[in-house]
Formats: sequence, structure tokens, C-alpha cells
Amino acid sequence: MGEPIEIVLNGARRRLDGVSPAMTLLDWLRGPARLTGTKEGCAEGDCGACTVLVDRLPVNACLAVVGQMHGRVIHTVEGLRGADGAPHPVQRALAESDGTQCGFCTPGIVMSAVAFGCGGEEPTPETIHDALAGNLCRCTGYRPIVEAVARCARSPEPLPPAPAVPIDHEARTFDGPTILHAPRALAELLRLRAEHPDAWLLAGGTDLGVRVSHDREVPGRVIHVVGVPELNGLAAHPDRIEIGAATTYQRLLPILTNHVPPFAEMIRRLGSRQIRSMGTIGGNLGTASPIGDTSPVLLALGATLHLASIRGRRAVAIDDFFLGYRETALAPDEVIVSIDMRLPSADEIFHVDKVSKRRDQDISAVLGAYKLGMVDGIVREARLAYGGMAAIPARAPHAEATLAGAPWTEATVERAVAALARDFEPLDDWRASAEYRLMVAGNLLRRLYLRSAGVAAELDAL
Amino acid sequence: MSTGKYKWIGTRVDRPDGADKVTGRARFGADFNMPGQLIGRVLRSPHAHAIIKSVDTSAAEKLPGVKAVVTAKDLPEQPNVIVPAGEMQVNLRDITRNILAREKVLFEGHPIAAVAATTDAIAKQAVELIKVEYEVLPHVIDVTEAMKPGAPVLHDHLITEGVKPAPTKASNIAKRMDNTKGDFEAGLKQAEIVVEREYTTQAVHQGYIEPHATLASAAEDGQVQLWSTTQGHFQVRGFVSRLLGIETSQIRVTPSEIGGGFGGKTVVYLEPIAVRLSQKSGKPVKMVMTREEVFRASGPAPGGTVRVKLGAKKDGTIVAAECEIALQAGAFPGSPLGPACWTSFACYDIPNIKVVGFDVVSNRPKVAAYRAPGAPISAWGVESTLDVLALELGMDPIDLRLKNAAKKGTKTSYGPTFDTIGFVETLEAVKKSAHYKTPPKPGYARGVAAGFWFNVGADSSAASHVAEDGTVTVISGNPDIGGSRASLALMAAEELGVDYSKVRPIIADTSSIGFNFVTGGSRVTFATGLAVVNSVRDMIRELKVRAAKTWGVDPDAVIWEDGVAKPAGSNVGEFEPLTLSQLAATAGKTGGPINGHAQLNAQGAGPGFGVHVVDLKVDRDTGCVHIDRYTAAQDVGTAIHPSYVEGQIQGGAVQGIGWALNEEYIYNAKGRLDNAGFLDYRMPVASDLPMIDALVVEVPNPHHPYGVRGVGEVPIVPPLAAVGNAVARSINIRMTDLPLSPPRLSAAIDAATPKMAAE
Repeated sequence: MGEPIEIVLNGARRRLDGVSPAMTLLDWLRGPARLTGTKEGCAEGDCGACTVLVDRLPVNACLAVVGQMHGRVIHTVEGLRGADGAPHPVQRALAESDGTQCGFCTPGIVMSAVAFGCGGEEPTPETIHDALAGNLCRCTGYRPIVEAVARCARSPEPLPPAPAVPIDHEARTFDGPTILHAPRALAELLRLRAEHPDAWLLAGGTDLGVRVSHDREVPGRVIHVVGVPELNGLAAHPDRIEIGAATTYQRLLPILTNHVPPFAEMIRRLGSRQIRSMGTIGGNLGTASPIGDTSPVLLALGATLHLASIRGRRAVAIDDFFLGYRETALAPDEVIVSIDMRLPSADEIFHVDKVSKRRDQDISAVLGAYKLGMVDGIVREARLAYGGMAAIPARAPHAEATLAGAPWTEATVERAVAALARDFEPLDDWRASAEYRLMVAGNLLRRLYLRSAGVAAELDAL
Repeated sequence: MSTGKYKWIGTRVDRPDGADKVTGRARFGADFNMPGQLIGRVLRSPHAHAIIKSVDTSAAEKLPGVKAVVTAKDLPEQPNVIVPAGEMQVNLRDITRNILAREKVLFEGHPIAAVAATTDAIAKQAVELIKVEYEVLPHVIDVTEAMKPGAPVLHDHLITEGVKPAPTKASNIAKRMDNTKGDFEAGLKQAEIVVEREYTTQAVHQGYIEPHATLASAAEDGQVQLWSTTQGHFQVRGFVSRLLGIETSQIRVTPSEIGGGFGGKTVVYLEPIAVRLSQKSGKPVKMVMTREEVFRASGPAPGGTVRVKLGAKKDGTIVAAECEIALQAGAFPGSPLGPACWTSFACYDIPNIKVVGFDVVSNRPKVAAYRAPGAPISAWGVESTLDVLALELGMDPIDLRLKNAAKKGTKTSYGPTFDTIGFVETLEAVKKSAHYKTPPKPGYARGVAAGFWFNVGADSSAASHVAEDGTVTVISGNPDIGGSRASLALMAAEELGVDYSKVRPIIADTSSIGFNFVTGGSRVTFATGLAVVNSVRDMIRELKVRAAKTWGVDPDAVIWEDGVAKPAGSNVGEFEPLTLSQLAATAGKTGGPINGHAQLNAQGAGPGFGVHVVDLKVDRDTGCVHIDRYTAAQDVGTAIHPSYVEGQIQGGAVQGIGWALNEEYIYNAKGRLDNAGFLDYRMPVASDLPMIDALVVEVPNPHHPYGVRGVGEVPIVPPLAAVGNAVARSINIRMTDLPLSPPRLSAAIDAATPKMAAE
């Protein structure tokens, strides 16, 4: 029997009776809740017109389903009015700076700016651009918006408070046309998975949400995994990091910034803050997209994946995880519990490159991740891994073999670049041609060398 | 920018729509709902080109919850008649086929049928139940391919217009257009240097964030109400009237706030279908396009080919110029060919000009207007070639343009002779700017380009009312896409001499104000502004009559000054000035309500010129471009609201930057669009851009009481070539094909790099 979904909306508790858990948050807000301030511009998480705050983080309401929202605190553009009836300072600043022209993107921009203000960050061009990377505006050219966001950074203005009575976080099953299970323990998750191997395994929903919102698919059954504590561990050890599969990019970012800055820099560009608030590293691995950005990095780092099913637990090296196009070593009854990622050591060269048409919020044409173990100028071990170069995220065995045991010189790098052509027949599509991907992969390897030789610093500005 | 000449004009007041927009209260197209409404959905062609052999809707009609289904049979056949649609023109016979396909589908996404059902899910299911039998035909996407003999012909009846003698065979070339000045061939003989290049551009979308949306309610007595997101609700009314055979005054269209249009919301797609579905079902019908539908089946801007040849003296004087343009019209004739041809050399005073243009159909969605339609494409060719000339002559690109700049008295190739214009002033402002005087940062290169747009006038109506308390409502009929409400209210406040806060501007529906041509052509602040000024003057005339009545004097003895009625001189008598509120309070005794009206066909729109400067660098390893600095200068006539003028200039420049760098329609071999979404149609985000500097130049238009020139369109014209010219100077390769995306730049750099052996 289904239970009601309960949320806190703009400071008040709301019960979503008779609502399918697979309805998008956006459809619910604009429909039954009659809050049309939140807009739909693309229904796939690209334009940000539907940005709302979920537990004070910006989220694309089009990609979230209401079943995911149980127990969460949501703010929309209509909920920013202060106790005195005045608009939020961000709203005032956007109006006064002429940061709104047609006004359609404005509610989403308001919410991104409020989240930025609440986050207490220093307003720099970089932080403001990052805060706005998930919001398209076609009228202003962004200047007045950037100026308004700078004006109200570190905004002390509080959001409407959450009500005193907290919503419980017990395991639940919600139903409508779709049945959504929200287990709260690993054993329960594994039992559900074994019983329903065809159910959607939903983490952040930044990928599956597109199928609901854009493709209008109605899943029969969904297992929402983020409430399982075992999937939410996050621990840094001296030489490695253990990451629960349901860890969002947003939670992961500070720890990566401290321990693996090139990975952190890539995560910042993998998706907007709206995507990073919801998207998880386990989800990115599980969908096994050839253009999933975290996979090559984990391949280069030689990560280990901990999988579990009711049959037991096992560890799988990431090298053995990707089997074919969107096909992995996960058994139908298995889930990813955590990722064990060894950190690069001081004598290793480690770097990540993400090349896309746009710097922010864009699919990679090439994602290159490299780890080279160095001893006295000789490459001891090479792990070069790429996204966008094959049907699966993959290492470059020929190029790696060329590098291993060779001196780290320009001539060696040129041989490795030539070997890349034997390793890959890259994707050839509207995002980038095969020739482009291969050429860029080679250029990036050359740049890795130049960077390690200390002559490419100025190139990194791009 | 206020010169002190005016009290309100030139001030940066709060916009009247600001609060509603930042709080989410503003209602856009999809925010309108009615009790009992149905949801409409459209069945679209999966094929680029096919004969429709049959359409079977019976299974869809039987599905519980489906209340109406329409196909082309539900729309009357239309005559072969051309009518204006914004800045472009459409043929009624074609537009009815664009809305619902008849004999053939002509592009992927072409609508074939539509359903209205109680829920969106049922509507979607019903659409899937409609069976269409197709005979798939060979298709053609590219303009050059479509012009070749032997290309698949889209329309058997299409005989090229503008060619004598007329061809006997149908082709995809809908029209040839020629315009000339002087004698190009003779002029070329005087040239000491000749440069010639060929260019291409790809189709791009306006990219408004709000998808098309409408809500239609047809009553049993024949009256129709429509709510729609549009740049021209009078045009929506007109099209629905013509296409469905409903008397115009029976239709009332209320425009929503519009979430961006840029020309793309000057035509109709959903509205006639929604009205017919509502008539058939007897219920209100709401229809909203998905983003994918917007990309596949609304009207993008065309791509095209441009060949430019310039002959000049060694001192930079251009003596002959030629431009040949072929534009994609999409599935039906009617690209913005005229504006593309006419604007091509409009910036320059050149004695001998030859321009030839071709309007070409292919299996793409029918194009629509996009900000200065056609002009960016010809400017890409002309301004790039000018840069080639500047480099070959070793001349500063601004000096080359100054040497040839059009001025008052310059005769254009398309006919008119310019009155007062500000191109020279704009070039000089750039030359004196801090940006131009500072060299680009190390590693960066600079590009310069200019642009022109006619700006238009056309039909407008306006009304002004004094309320009982003396406050004022100004009523016009143009959807506000760029801040026009604030500009109209500022001009009304200036005329009346009252505080801006006392004037409320309203956009009325089609039944509440006289006809207004679309919001387009950068016409609203100029033309509708003129109508508002005239309506306020009409109201002031009435106010003087009322004051005269109050005082018992002749109306000619009363003047209106600083918001009050005063005696014209001491000989009239000693009277205390009468304020608006005093006159309003006694209006019942002096003749009733005090209103003003005006209607006009505005003439004398002032042309606009822009000059853009960009500093950028190209990452040679990846082909990615980084823009460091961008200045956009423009003659705006008078900046009524300087912030909105700057906003238009900045926004237009950024759309142009997107066009230059990454935006394009990408078709696959099956003639299907591969990137129909914001995920793969890459518009700029904040981090792609520097803070764009708008440099406002004011050379007032002598044909407007406040000197207004249109502003919104000029700024999208120069960026394509400005960016291209900077790229050329950065990598020493003249790029001729847009967009300058990383793969394209990389390939060009690679092709120009001497190859080294791997060993």
C-alpha cells in the first residue's frame, strides 16, 4: 500500500495525495500546486528555467520526480517574499540591475542567485559564472545578471523557515501508476533489487529524469537508492578515498578539491550546480555512458568498485567494469555500493582534460585522464583513459605500452600520440568528428608533456 | 546619457514589468489555464520528404479521453497570395500547409495531425495511434545541392521568380533578386586591388527560452478567445481569421508576457490548430511545444552562401562591390533575401554595386525572422572580405571603414538616400574608445566589423486615459520584448510633464485597441512611441479644452507646461494652473472622461549602424576560442531608457557570438536534425563571455520627436565577422565557414600546420 509523499514547500508542510511518485517536481509545481513561476524551457536540465531549491541547493525541477522529494525542503520563486512582504534582495537586485528582460529565465536565475547568496561564497567572476552555468538567458548577454549576483552575494537574507515538525525518514513505498521504493538500509535495497531486476535504479535522476521529463516515459517501478546509508559513505584516507555510490558531485567536490584538484576541476565543469546537487558518482558509472565524465578518471586512477547483491559482496576493478555500449559487469540483482579510489602520489603525473564546445555544462568531445608513475624521468607505469573515444570509456593500451619504460621526452610522447590512432576509432557524430577527437586526444597528450615540463602554464588558462 | 534636455527621457527608471518578472508572477504563454481545458498535441513527420498517401485517425478518435482530432482537411484551402508576416512575407497557400501538411511532408517535424484530449498522456497516446502511410522521397538539405539540376524538387509548381524569360521547369530556386547601383564591371576596371572570397553559414535558432504556447477557447456563437505568446497578437488574429475563415472581429487575442521571440514569434504554428480543436471539441484547448518541437518545426534563421568581391584603390577607396547570396528558405519560399541583399553594402558609399540573391527551398523547417533577418549573413561575407582588404592594404580596419562610410546623402543600392545617420560618429567613437586604444593582451587578437539595419515604422495605434485621480494609463498593442513599456511610459511622462510613476503602460488585446503591426523591425519605441506621443498630445488638447471651459476662456488661450494647464499669457486673465488631478476631478462637469487617441503609419524610421570590436584567442590544441574583451558601439538615435538600450546591444552581440562560434543546425544523412535540444544546440552561458561593453552613440533621428532610432536588431549584425576577423588575425587563417566551432578551427589549424613525422 502506498504512503503519501510529504514535503516542505515554501515553509509549509504539504502532502501530495494522489500524485504519482514518478511525476516530475516541475509538473507538480506547475500543475496541482498552481505555482507557475517555475518555468519549463527544455525539460532536460539544460536551461535552468525550472531551478528551485531543494534543501537549499539549486535543482532542476524538471529532472526530479516527486518520489525523490519526500522529506525535503523546497523553495520556489514564489516563496522568497520576506516576512515584511518585501521581495528578496536578489529579486530586487535583478530588477534594479535590469537583469531581467523577457523574464522567462528570471525565476530560475533568481533561485540560482539565492542559492549562491546563501552559500556565502566570495563573489568572483569564476564563482558567479559557476553559479550561473546551469541557467540560459538569451536576452541580456548575462552582464546585468552577473552584476546583480555580485551585488547580493553573501546575502544574509534568510529563506522562509522549515516547519518545526520534521518529516520522518522511514523506508517508504509510494505508488501511483508508478511504484517507487525508497529503502533505508542496504539489505532492503538488495532484496528489492533481487525481486525487481527490471526496476529503474534511481539515484540523482539527472539521467533517468530526462526519460521522464523529456521522453515522457512512465516507469513501472523505481528503486530510489539515496536513502541507503551504506551508499552515502565518504571517507578520505592518506592514500585513497572511499566514496559511497550515492554521493552527489556537490558533496564530493570539497574532498576532491583537497586531494585530487584536477578531478575536482573536471567535476565543476561536468555539469551545472543544479546537476551537481543531484547527480551521483555511482549513477554516472551505472549508466555507463561512453561520454560519462567520471569513468575515465576512475579508470586512470585504477579505482575498485564494491558491488553487492543478496548473493553477497564483491570487488571489481574498474578495468573490468565496462563491457560494451551501456553494458557493465553489474548482475541484474546487483548494485554499486561504493568506489574505492587510490589517490595519485607525489611522484605520479596526474591530470584530467575535458574538451567541449562550451566550457561549462557541455558534453565532452574528449575527456582524457592520465596517471603516469615516474622514476628518474622514466615512465614506470602509464594509465591513459578516455571518454568520447570509443563505445565505452576506455584505456589506451598501445599508447600506454609505448610510454611504459620509456623516458618522458617529446619523442616518446610523439610515439604515444601515434599509438592512440591504433587504440581508438572514436565516435563520429554531431558533437565532434572522429578526426577531431583523435587529434585533440593527441594534442592533449603533448600538452600533458609540456605542462609537466613547465612550459604550458599559459595554455591552461583556456 | 541624458543631456539635460529632458526630464524623463534618458533616465534609468524601474521597468513596469520588473517586479512581476522577478517574483514569478508574470504570466507567460504556458501559464494560462481554463477550467475544463483539453491538451493538444501534434503528430509530426519522421521523414524529411515524403508523399502522404493516407492518414487514418480512427483509432485515435476511439481512444477514451480524446475529444477532437484535426488534419489538413479541417483547414480550408488557401489562395496563392502573399501577406506580410513581421519583417518577412508568407504565402497563405504555403502557410496552411506549414501548419498542417497536405499532399506532402517537406521536413522532419512537419505537422500532419493534432489531437485534443483530457490529459497530456492520452493526447500523446492518441498521436501515436494515428496511422500515416508515406511514400518516402529523396530529400535535399543543403542550399547549394538544392540549386543543382537534378536535385529533388520540393514543389512541382515552383517556377523561379525574377528571371526573364521565366523558366519552364519547376526548381527549388523560388526567386532571383537583383539590385545594382552604378556599373560594377566598369568600376572594377578602376580598381588597383581586388579581393574575393566565398563564405557559408548554417541555420541557427533564435533560441528564445520560452517554447511556443497557446490556449484557445471557441464558443458556440462563433466567438473565439486566444491567449498566446507572440510578437504580434494582431497577426495571430489575422492568420487565424484567414486560415480558418472566421471574421476577424470575432477573434480576440490576448498576448501573454513573451519569453523571448527575436523574430521567431511573428508567425503562427499552434494557434489555428488549437482553435479548430476547440471548435470541434467545444472545450478550451491548450497547446505547448516541447523544446524539441521548437527546434525541429518552428522557424529558424536560414543558413546560406555568400560570395563577395571588392575592388579598391590603394588608398582604400572602394570603387566596386559585388555580393551574391543564396539563402535557405526552408520548406516553403520566403527567406529574408531582400534584407540580406539590401543591407549587404548599406554601410558604405560605393559608386558601383551589384547584388544578386537567390531564395532556395530545401527540406528544412520554413525559416522565420531572426533579429535583423538576413543581415548578419551578408555582413559575415562583406565585413570578412573588408578585413581581407584591410590586411592586404595594411590599413587599420576602422580607417578603411571611415574612408568608405555612408553619410547623409549617400544613395543606397536598394533605392533610398540616407538622411541623418551616425555611422561615422560610431566608427569615431570606437576609434576613441579605451578598448580600441589599448592593444589586445599578449596572445589575443582583435577583430572589427560593422553592421546596418533599416529599422521600420508601419502601423500603430495608441490610447491614453486620465483616471479619476489624475494618473494616466497609456495603452498600446505591441507585446513588449525589449523594454518598450518603460520607453513608452517615459515618452508619455515627458510629453505630459508628469512623474513617470503616474503613467502606467498597458498592452491591450486585439479587441481593446486599434491595429498594431508586429513587434519587429525595431519599430515599437519608434512607431508605437510616435503613436503614444500623438495620443498624449491628443489628450493634452482635450485637457486644454477642459481648462479653458473651467476658466471660461478660449482653448487657444491655454498652454500645457510641466504637467499643468496655464493661461497662455497675462492677457488671458489671472488663473491658478490646473493640474491633471484637478482637471480629472472636474471632468464630469467639463465634458466627461479625458482620453486621447492616435493611429498612424509611421514613416521616417532612422537607420542604425553598429561597430563591434572583439579580442580573443584560439587554443591551437583544441580549437576552443576564449573571448577576453568585447565592445559594441551603436548609433541609437536617442536612448530613451539607456539601460534597456545597453541591454539590447549586449544581448544582440551575445546572440551573434553564439552564431559565430557554436550554434548550428546539424542534419544527418536521413535529413533529420541531430541536435534538437539545448544539450547539443550550444548557446552561450555566462562563462563563455566577458562583460560586454555597450558604447551608446546618439545621433537623433530627425523624423521622431525624441530622435528615436530602432536599437534591437543592429547588434546581431557585426559579431559574426568581428569574431571571424579576430580569429583570422589570431591563427593567420581566413575562416569562411560558420560556425567557428572547435572541430572546425582544429581542422583548419591542422591543415595549415606542416606535418612532422612521428619519429
